[in-house]
Amino acid sequence: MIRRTPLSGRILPAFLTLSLMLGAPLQASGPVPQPAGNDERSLVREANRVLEEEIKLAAAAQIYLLLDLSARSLRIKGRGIELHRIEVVSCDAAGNEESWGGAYRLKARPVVERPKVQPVPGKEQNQEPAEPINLNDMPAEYLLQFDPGLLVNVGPPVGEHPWLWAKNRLREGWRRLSAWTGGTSGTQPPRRVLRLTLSPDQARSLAWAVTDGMPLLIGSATAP
Amino acid sequence: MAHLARTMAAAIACAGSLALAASHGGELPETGPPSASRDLPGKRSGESLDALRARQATLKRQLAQLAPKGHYIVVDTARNKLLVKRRDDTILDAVASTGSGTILDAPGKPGTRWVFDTPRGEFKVQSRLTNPVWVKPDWAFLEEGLGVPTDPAQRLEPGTLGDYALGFGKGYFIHGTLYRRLLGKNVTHGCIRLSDEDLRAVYRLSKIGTSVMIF
Repeated sequence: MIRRTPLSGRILPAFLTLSLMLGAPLQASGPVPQPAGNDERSLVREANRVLEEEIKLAAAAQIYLLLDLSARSLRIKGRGIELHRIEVVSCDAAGNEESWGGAYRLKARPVVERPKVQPVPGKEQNQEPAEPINLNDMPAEYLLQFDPGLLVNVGPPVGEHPWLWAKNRLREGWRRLSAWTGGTSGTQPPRRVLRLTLSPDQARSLAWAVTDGMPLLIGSATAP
Repeated sequence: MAHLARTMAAAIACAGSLALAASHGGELPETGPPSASRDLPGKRSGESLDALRARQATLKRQLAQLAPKGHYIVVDTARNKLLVKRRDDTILDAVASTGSGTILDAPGKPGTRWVFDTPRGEFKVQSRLTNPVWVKPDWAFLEEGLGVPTDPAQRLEPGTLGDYALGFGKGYFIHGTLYRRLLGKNVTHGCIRLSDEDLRAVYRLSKIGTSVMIF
């Protein structure tokens, strides 16, 4: 019988997390798979696929995200109209999936602490709240979990923000470890992991924009 | 009495339905099914480049047809901006104030709380009011440390919302403000505030059914 001390209970997950953090990028990380063949026909076919998917999303009253791999941009859209554009520094895939086709729905996003209003006798309605939420309260590195089976890891460029980058990878490793060991009840290990490198400002902008259930479409939308 | 009736008719309950335990705003139900198909390129692998290009042109037309006809309103809650657009042209670029994102717990009522978010999603202008009168909801009294009045007349507050108000559902409105210095900040209880001039322009450019896209 193995006796688990509190210390070993901490060291083992920490070791595994560190291994995952460092090992995962070497294991199966690389550019997101592009359509087979780089010939014009394949690119137009892929752009058509994205258009077909987008038409389904744009038919409903909703705001959705389109990650355009060819244009390195993440667009916030509604009814086919671009409302806002987030510039992507780089986008890498970790996993063995060959396709990123289809649309995903946001299942979990970072929790932002909301300030509580304290009733104040005599307070006027139009007075400025003490601590309203703004963009700077949003995180610059975080995980977004989508259905079915997609984890999007948003983080800064390693060269510019090494500490944030390391924190981000550690978070991803922990999440994957938790899923694999069943530590997160009801959570299946993600089949796909997408690493999205954004500047801290753009990452905060995305964290603000996403809402529960928001659809995400991934593909190369720009045909030559 | 007739005056009171007219007043009530023009009165609005600004963001009065915020108490619906909205954990994060009050988004409209998303009616479209999530696209779950995972069909990959290749099902028409034999198509020629010309055929693919022709199909692309058709798809682009189909997508363009889903865009709002005429003017539409875009609200950027992160940067507190309101745009009125027509196709790709920006007709009006206004500084706005949107939801503060704060929480008010109802005193003495555990589990009852208001989340002061501007709802995100696509909405439609449902009402266009002139000289609106604010019907103060419960939270407005509780926030001031006051009791909620039983007499509905005590909830009426004329002059607070400016000359116009555009309702886009669930008690949320685009309206004016007495406090211009707060424009550009996240300070509201969920409604969208504009300056008098911008509000007038938005009122003039919109109609019932105008799309309001909020992100």
